[in-house]
Amino acid sequence: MTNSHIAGDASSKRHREHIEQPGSPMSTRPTKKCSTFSSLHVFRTPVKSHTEHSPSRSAKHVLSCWRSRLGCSKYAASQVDAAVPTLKYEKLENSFSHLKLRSPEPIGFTHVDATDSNTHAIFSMPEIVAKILKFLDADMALPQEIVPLRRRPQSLAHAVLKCNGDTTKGFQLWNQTVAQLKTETGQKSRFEQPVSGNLHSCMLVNKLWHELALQIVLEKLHFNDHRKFRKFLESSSHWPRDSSPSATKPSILILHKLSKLSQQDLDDLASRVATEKLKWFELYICPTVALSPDIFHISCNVEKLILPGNRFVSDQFLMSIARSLPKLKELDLRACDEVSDSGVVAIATSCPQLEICNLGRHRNGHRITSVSLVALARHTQIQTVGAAGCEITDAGVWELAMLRGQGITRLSFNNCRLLTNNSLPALLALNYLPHLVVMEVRNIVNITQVRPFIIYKRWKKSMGVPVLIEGCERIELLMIEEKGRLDAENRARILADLTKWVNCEDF
Amino acid sequence: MSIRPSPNDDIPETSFEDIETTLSPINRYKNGYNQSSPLRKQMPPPSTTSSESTTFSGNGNRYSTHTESDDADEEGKNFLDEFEEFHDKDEYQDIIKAHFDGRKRSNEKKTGMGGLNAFAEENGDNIDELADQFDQNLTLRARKSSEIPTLKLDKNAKQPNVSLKKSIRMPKSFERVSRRGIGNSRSASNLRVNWERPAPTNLRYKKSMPLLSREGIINEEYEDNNYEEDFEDDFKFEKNMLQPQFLNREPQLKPISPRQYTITTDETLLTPQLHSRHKDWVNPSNLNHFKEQQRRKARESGSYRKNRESVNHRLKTIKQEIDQNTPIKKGKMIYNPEKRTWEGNEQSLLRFRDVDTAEKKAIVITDKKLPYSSGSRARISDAKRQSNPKIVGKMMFDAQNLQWLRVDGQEEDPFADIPDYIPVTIPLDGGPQRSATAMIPQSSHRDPTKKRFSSTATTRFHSLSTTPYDFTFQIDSRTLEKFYHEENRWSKKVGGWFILDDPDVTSTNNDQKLPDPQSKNFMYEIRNMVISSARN
Amino acid sequence: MSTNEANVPTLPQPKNTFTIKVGLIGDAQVGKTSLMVKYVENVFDEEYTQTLGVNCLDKKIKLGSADIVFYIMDLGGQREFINMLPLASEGARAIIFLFDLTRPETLKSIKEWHRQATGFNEMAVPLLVGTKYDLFVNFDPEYQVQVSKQSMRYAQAMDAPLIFCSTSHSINIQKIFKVIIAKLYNLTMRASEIKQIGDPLLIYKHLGSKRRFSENPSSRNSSSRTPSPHRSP
Repeated sequence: MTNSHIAGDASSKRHREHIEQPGSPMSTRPTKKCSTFSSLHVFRTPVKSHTEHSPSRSAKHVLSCWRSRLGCSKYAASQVDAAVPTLKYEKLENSFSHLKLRSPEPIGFTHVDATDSNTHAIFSMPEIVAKILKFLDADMALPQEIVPLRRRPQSLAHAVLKCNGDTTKGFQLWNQTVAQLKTETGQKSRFEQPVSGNLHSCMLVNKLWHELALQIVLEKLHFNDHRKFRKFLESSSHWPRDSSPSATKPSILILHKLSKLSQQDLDDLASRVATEKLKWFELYICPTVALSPDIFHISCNVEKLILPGNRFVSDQFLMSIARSLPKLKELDLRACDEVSDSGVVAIATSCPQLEICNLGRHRNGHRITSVSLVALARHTQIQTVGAAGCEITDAGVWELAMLRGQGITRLSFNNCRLLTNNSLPALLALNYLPHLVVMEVRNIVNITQVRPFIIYKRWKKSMGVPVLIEGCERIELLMIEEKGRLDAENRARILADLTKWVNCEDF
Repeated sequence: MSIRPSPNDDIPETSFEDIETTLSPINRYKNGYNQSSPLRKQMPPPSTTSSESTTFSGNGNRYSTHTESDDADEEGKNFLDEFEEFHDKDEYQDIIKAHFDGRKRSNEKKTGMGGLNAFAEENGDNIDELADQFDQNLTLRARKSSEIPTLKLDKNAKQPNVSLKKSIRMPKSFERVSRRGIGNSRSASNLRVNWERPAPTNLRYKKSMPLLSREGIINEEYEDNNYEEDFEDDFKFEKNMLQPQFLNREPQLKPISPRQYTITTDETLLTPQLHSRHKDWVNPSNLNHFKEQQRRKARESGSYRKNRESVNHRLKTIKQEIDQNTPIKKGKMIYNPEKRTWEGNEQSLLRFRDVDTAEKKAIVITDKKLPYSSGSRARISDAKRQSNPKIVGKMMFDAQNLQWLRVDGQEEDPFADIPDYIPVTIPLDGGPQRSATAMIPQSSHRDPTKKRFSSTATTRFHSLSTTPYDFTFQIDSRTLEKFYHEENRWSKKVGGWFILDDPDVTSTNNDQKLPDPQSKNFMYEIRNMVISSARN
Repeated sequence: MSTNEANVPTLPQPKNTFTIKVGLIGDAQVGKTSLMVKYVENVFDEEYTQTLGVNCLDKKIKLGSADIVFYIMDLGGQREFINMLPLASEGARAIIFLFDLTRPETLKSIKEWHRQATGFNEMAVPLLVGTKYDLFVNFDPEYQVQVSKQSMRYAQAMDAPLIFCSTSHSINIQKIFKVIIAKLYNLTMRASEIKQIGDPLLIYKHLGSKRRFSENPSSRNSSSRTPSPHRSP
């Protein structure tokens, strides 16, 4: 393994060199768009380098040494292990600094055969190329829900409150929100378009590159475009299933907002993709497809299961897959309103490592009660609980705090109409939730006592931990008032103390 | 007695205008004419129109709707033209002529410069010079002879181009005729008002002038702008005139006589918070009295060494980072390496200005306590006989009457030959008399003019006026003051509105329109009125 | 709103810390460093040690609801250090101008110190402190009268409380810092003034209140929490 590490280091160094040499023609080339694309340029460089005709002699020499030492055809790990130490590190550096992998003048893509003798040999070494491509993969963004820093305001007045009473700012925020909501209904503009294509471009370089890049691509399957998904299914049907077994064993499988996704497509996918290695399965707002529990039966590695907005996720489904998810850490069942306490209990009892569980919903809130909370508290390592809109009670929250109080970091209890001052405010006041950093308490009519919130927030702030408490307009208003009152009390107390000190004879 | 040469003092004429015209214009004018010239009894009543002309103050220039001539000749013609009008409509030409001739003659007689008349008759241009000389002589003499403002004989007065027209709005300088001139005396108040403005030289009737002056109502004013240089002289002269007349000498600060006062420097005034010592001075042995109680010290007295070490340990010293010879600029301060000082913020030194001049000390002046002064507080009314009179300079304090008297008894009364106006205000029940007082109508005591007149005299100086005022017009000072202020305000407000006109002309052109109906200049006036009233 | 007081105490209440920077400024050898050391450590050393630059010490005073940290900076009185004046005066909440009661010329140079220091910081509460009162009492009464009066006039000109102190005899040392707090937060200080000439003057009630600015103790909470930039010069 060390050899590949070294190789990786070297290539990354080169990579950095390229980026960091401001004077190099590479970086001054006008086609360079912006720094975020620098990696793209770097990795396009090998493509262009095929046409390079005058690599420096010393570099050639070094590489020929390499080749002779390593042998041209196969680079067994042991061989590399043996070879690399023999090379002086400094020399390697030198040789890399002389690697001019770009053509002197920019030219377009020309597909040159990999056997071109002018190609730098380093780019025909699969290990090195694989390393390079992995770096590229690391830059790849997955389609994901952007979690807003703060929740959207519920109204203009609320927006103003959020902006600490700054009307103009609040107005701006509200307008923004409205605009966002408008565009969102039709488009997924809220979601980042992943910077993709780098790896795919690499697949076009030559056979070696194609092979290596494909492996990496198949490692993480993610689609947020229905057409691309279709294409993938079509092309994948040509792949012989056995020839490249790793190709169909992704660790990540994300289907992001594929609204046209049909049951047939999903079944196709399931038949072609092996799920043994699957760690992260996400079916983000694809409401019309039912997952077959079989997908999970093969795998027991799934750590992250994101199924928000799927109406086919039911208690039965959860119960059938629960046993296959021993490593599950994150479960997102937002808006899966068919799920009830029994499903959650099944998950909780089978997934001891569960840390994040979101059961928030707008409908069927009565199906989730304190039973779920208690089950999660008792059987899992729960840290984040989302139970927005559920009919959980003070008792459940208390149980959660008693059992998992030290671990709880985020709680979302928006619209939990049964909660009162006896749960969250009291728990915070008693400091039973000492590590809470996010708490959402919107539209809980029975919470009227917010002083513990403020004191808690202050206390955490004094320790350098910002606490986010998302309230509705009413609660935020209460908090502001309470804050003022608390400030005044503090001020008075401090001034009294100061006066006392000023007037005491001895210090 | 009023110390003023004229009771009209200080009344801006225009301030009365409305009131008078509405109240008793006829009587007033009748009286006035009777006073100045008995021949004018049949003078038509003035128009109730407040003014036939308006002064526009457009863009720096002043316009009068009156036609004014630029030089004396024109003036003369103009004057004659006006006389023509008079002649046409009334038969007063002779009256007027007689009037002015008489006046002139009397002037000449009085000033003893009879030759001037001849010059005046010549109506030449060089007359100005002579007139100036004359003015100056007259002024000097007059001021010498009596310390009251001397009325200056105006050169134009010698010329026949005297007009009975125009208002008082234009005066720039004033004609001075002798006090005994025929009703042409200028009141001090006239001098005061608008004297800086270019003024017509023609003789005018001042419509708004209170009629109570037994000397009549004719104002003489410059009308000609060419006399600017003369105005300069006049200017100087008037300036003096404008001073309170009894202060004609420049007031000077005389050193305070230590004989009369105890003068002590009192630094404590500057440091009021410091108390002077009234106990024994602190000596080192009782310093402990002020020692701050320090519980902690007692506790830690044993650990002195430890403390010292901790000090050395904790004390951080920031050493010079930059060479002290490097100039630095920081905010408004600039480091000067040569002087080794920060420059800037010099104004803060001003705070210490007084502190540093230690010589500057507060001085307390107190009455000298004289041992026997209080004992001999006899009923000596005469200050001179007082056992210990306080004398400052040549003045002596009359403690009884609380007034200052001259030590040498040479109490000059500069106002001696100023007739008191008290008789003027005596209401007469009887028939018409030739005296000034006789001309006051029976209704005079109801006439606001008179109240005003008395008010001005009393308001300002009533504390100094020793003789009791006329009982009829005994108005308490508060009321007077109220009147006074009200009038001032009123005059301020409306003072610039209208040019008052000669009643004669007014009578003839009762419904006179603005001279230039086409001109929109009056808009300016309205605008100014609005502005000034808004400001007030 | 009724507060469940029984619940509140279990949640630790964060303490406010007020860091108050105080600059000590005045001629050489008037006793700036010894005043500082005396106040912070209650130690007095007769030996004179020249300050080569700016000395810093901090003293924490723990009160029930807040801590006060006096961060005292004492500028070497020698002319060669005057270019470090901004260090001692900028950002200071109070500037103590010291002079030696036994050397009238040190009072006179207060004028210059005041000009330069206020050029950097107009907001600071100024204090005029006469040192070595214990030696001052040995002088003849007329001298004492003159110096007292003159310093009073300086204090009035500067609008600064006037305090005569003795570091060696612990006279009015604590008072200086209490006056600072009282002036800074507009507190009522009841300590009676000492106004009689010859006594260690303590005149503060009507001085130094003009430039007080509305101060919100808890609003300074966050700012005082951040480490003072002057700590790591």
